[in-house]
Amino acid sequence: MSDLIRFDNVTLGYRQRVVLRDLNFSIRTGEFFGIVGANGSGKTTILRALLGILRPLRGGVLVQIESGQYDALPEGGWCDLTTTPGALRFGYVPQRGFLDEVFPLSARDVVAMGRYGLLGLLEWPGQRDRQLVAEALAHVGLSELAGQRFGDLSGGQKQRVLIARALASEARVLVLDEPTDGMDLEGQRGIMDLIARLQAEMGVTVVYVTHRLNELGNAAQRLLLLHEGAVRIGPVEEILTPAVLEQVYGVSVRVETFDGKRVVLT
Amino acid sequence: MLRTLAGTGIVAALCAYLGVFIVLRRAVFVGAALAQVSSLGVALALFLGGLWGTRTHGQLPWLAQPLAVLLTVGAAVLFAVQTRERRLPRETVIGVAYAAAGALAILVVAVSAGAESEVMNLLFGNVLTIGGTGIIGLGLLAMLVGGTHVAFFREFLFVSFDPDMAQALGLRARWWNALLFLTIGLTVAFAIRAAGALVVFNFLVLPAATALLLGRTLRMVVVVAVITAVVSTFIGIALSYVFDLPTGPSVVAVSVLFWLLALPTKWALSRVFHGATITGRASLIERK
Repeated sequence: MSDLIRFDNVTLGYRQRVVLRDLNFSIRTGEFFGIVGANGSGKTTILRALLGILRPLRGGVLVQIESGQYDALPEGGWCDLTTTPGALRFGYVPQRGFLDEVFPLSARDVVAMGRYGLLGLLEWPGQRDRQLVAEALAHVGLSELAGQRFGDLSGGQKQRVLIARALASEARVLVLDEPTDGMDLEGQRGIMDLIARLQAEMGVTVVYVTHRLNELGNAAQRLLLLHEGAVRIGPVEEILTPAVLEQVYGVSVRVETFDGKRVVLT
Repeated sequence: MLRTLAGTGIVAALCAYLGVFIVLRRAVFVGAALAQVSSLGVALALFLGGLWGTRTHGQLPWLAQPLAVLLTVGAAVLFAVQTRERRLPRETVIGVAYAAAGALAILVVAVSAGAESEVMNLLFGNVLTIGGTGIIGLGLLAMLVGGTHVAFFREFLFVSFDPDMAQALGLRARWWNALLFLTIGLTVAFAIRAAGALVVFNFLVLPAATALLLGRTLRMVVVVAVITAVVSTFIGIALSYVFDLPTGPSVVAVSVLFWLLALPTKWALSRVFHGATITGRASLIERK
């Protein structure tokens, strides 16, 4: 797998306040990349830099423009890249709690927003856009609820709608911010299965942000661990070891395998 | 009378439409703050007119409208681009602007040469003061703002609902936010001269609030908001004419009545559709 996105000596922060220093890591084409850390550890900051919303204080976020060739984050975020054919496009799935339920929008309306950034100025959605929206809703199993008001859907259904919106934008990278937060076990399982299926069937690269280590232990291929300024990056089997976790978190942990699944116990 | 109806009708429709965005974005005090800022512009023009000795009794100096528009649009754009400041929530900045502009307007008038008794009317506008050129100006404003929103409705909606995703998809969220607020500022600056601060604030909040109770889709909410605003305007003006009441407060009172009526109407509608909702939810659970 080649590197799709590279963080080269990236320092991130807001104005003069540095949140994370000298980040060096890459996200590979088609992989499931997990970012794990407590609230305030800098997860969202990395995510904002990845999406081009936050410019690094130092260093560069590079994207592969063609095999072996990389380009820096353009002025104004990804705006310039998204309009070119075959450009790296991010499907951002925000925490559903951040979206205001007072907006009287149907599930279809929300998914259709995935097409908005790709239309030209004064261009209205056409047949192809409508078809992609319908296909995206079908992919997440919500075709029958397309006309339902977004605010009336359950937490799991809302998350599926937001994933469908990312798919409708023909994204090559799905960026998910705590997608199962506040869900019951059944809902969590449904979302994780859906993401795994989309990765396998559509070949999308997945960047998954969470504060729960066990959520990614069996889903991600590589992990980026954030804790009080410390950063560890590597394959899951190298990161989820008592030695690494104890060093990062400073508490005694055990890593056990039950029924073929890795579980971290404190 | 016809001029008043036409002018307030245009203001009602335009403000009610923009009010849907303002209420959905939870920024209702933007309207009140912009009204104060607009008044500050008029007050400054009165002050400068007094200094230059070009003021005519009971009339606004020519500089009043340009200054009011300039300050209001500037404040509106400032409110739009300020949203990412972490230490000060946007509503705090809006509150500061409201207090500062309101107090400054009165202070500036107080120190102006030859302050007049009708100065509050001049500062805050009046429903019955629309002239022929005022109607043409409002018509042009409606075309400009309406045209901008027809062309860029999708962008305005997207950056209002989810600015991060909008930016991740290549939309310059800050620019679109600024343009949306610029249209709001421009509308408020002109509308206040035509209909008065209280009526404009009413149009920016109450019709949208009524429509959000009654409409299930965004299109329906916009249509209900505009119709409610125009109808309450006409009824309010008619009532004020028949019973010799102040026009602005009469229009506001009818808007409030519509909102109060919307509450039981919403309850009744939800009772009618209650069975359908239960059936829908049951089928969802079954499918799981």
